[in-house]
Amino acid sequence: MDFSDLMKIKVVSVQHRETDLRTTPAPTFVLTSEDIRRSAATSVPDVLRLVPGLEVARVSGNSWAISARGLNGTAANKLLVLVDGRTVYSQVFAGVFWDVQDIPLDSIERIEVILGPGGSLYGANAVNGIINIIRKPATQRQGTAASVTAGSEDRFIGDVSQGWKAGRNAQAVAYAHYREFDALKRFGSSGGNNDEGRFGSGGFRADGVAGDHDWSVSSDVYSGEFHASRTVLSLTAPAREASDFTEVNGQNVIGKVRSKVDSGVVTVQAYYDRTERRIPDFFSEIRDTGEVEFHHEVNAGRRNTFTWGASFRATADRIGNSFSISWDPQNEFNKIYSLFAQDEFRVTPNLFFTLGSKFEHNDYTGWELQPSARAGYTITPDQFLWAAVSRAVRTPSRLDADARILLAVQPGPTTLEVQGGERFDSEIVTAYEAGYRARPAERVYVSLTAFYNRYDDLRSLEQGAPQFVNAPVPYTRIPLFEDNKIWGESYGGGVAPQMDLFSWWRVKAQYSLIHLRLHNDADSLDFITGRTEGNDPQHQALFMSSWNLPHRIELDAYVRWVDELKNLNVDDYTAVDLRLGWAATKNWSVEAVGRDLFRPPHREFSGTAEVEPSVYGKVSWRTR
Amino acid sequence: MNNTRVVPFRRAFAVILSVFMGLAVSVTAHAEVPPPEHKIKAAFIYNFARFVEWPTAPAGTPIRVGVVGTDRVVSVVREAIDGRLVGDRPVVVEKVTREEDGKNHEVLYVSGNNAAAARRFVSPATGRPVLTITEVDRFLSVGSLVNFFIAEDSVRFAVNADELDKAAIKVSSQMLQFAAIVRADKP
Repeated sequence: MDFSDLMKIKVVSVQHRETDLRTTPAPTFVLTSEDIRRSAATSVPDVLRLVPGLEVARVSGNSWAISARGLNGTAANKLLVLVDGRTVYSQVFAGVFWDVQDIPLDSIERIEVILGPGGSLYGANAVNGIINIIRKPATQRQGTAASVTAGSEDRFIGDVSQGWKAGRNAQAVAYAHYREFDALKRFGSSGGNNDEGRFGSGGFRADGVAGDHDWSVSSDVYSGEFHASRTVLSLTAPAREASDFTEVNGQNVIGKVRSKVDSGVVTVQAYYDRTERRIPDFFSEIRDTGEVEFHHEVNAGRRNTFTWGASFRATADRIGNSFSISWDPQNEFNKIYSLFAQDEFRVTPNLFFTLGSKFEHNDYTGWELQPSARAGYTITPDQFLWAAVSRAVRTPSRLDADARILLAVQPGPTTLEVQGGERFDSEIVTAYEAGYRARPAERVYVSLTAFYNRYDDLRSLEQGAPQFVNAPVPYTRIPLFEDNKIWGESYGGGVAPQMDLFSWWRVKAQYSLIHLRLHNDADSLDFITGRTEGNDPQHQALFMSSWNLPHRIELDAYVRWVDELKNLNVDDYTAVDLRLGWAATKNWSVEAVGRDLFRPPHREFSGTAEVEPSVYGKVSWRTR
Repeated sequence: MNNTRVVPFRRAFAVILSVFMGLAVSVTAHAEVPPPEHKIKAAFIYNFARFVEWPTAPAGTPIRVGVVGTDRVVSVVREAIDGRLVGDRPVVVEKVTREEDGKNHEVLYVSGNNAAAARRFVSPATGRPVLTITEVDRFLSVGSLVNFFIAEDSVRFAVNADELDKAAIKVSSQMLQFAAIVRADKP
């Protein structure tokens, strides 16, 4: 066949491009831009529901509980989340404000998820997992793209981006994004949950090449307001419900240079990030964070790949207090510096070991050591086996170190208050993991993982002696001091087969199991934390089917089953999502999506919000 | 688990199943199984070899095609063109894993859309009589001579004219007429 014949042959679409059998000695999972495009999701937290081993629950309009391998909560604090290398967990509670991570899905190149400790490379807080959101470079966003989504829950989502060539070796893109979502349904009522919201963002990115250097610069600005209800406790009046608007604002700028040098590859990255959050009469936080990071991959002979790096992060906050929650001091400056080193040693072409550790210093607990040892073995080109042992820590947040939280007011009046302080030390996990990936047949791919985690020094709330307080009115205060007198064990794993039944039909299934037990130390007076082991679904399963039909029509189906949450009285549920897409012309495409179909509204976590069946339609236009 | 909750679950499955079964029947009729992308690309590579002139081309010596990629890609390319003849020269497909090894081949094909990785393999071969082929989005910055891309669901190729001017090999106009010619200053 000559060129003209070859150029007429239609090839397998991008989605069906052959997947590599990854030889990473860790339970990694990648959502590609194609996986995201063909999902029924409209937001980042939503699309994470497709990742095996993650727990994703929508708590209210703007609040999500997301965790890996258990210990979930709205303030889940054992997951590290990065956007283009920028840490987005909040130092105030060591968790993530998911409502402001509203990145346009079209702009995401991939989302990499690593379950289990990643502390040796990523540092503190990567206790149970890392979510790495990587956006497309400007080179992949050339030309004009615009889309409009309208639906019953996501009332309106508008996205527009414009990419251009910014010189001989540089390209740039600018974008704007806006979302308006409806309130969820109120549990036990026919009305809404008063938790609607709006969010807008914009930004730019430039990427270029100069000799042996790749560089990129990007910046985002966002602003949003979310309606939310909360219970207001008072010493003099009964508890009442307040309904007001959470205001959020933020800006960030990040620059990165990746250079090829004689000894290997050097990456230098720096960013500045500002976040602001205000909940009237309750809480406010303004935070400025800056970080500089250096990373050097050294070619150390044929058998070794040596990587080392260093980073320095500084963060300053100004917190506004209320009677319900307060910090002392209200302004704080924290710094974290770290060093890491890792060596991958190839014993034979098929067997390698990775040994590494991060040494990180924080202001509360000093130096923390986070080592890991991993082994990978390629049994045949189609089978890979790995095992790992690692230790990771969750260092104290501002909440653990300096906060006082009013939990309850009883007649008397007597208050129950969580009190942070110096007694609280880092929480520790030691994880034992193993996995197997295989391609038993040409179009079949399967991965198996298993883990056992041992947790030590988990946060406990130790009841202290009652104190008498005279102002504003006389009352008795029962403090619950933050301490580290809980330990626990968890085990579980997952299986994820994937198969291309035909070139036009792919099916995937996932199952994950998590079993968690928490125990008090003998001298612990904690009576609350132990129950939170019932905040996780023991079983989760997902079935997906993707069809490429004639006339550029795509049909995707997702059936997701999530087990009950015993401690929160949340029933198990099955959610069905269906997506119909049609690439009408080169420039135009349309989608119709139904989500949480064929079932009544259901709660996914604590709180009063129920997720309802919903539909949306999307029209997209792009040049090229 | 009580019975009332089982019903929607079952109904959901029933609906999906019936939708799928119905469509499956209607689709099987006209869906053809397209060949794997790398098989087509291998055929392109074989054709390139016919239209490229190397400065030293001893008759009978093999045209070594180095492939950077997974075992799967290497075996697809090998099955497609290994042993085929270009004139009197047999094509030999070899897997390349070290960056500096590519420069000793007549053809170097770096698979995968990873510009940084591609550049690391291509740069040692630059200026030498090697036909470098990549399949990345950022083709010009990589410095390869030929780059595959997909347009209208088919494989196409672009040629970097700047690099071609400097190259130690000659590419016939019979090949260039099918190529998208790209220059850094006027894309």
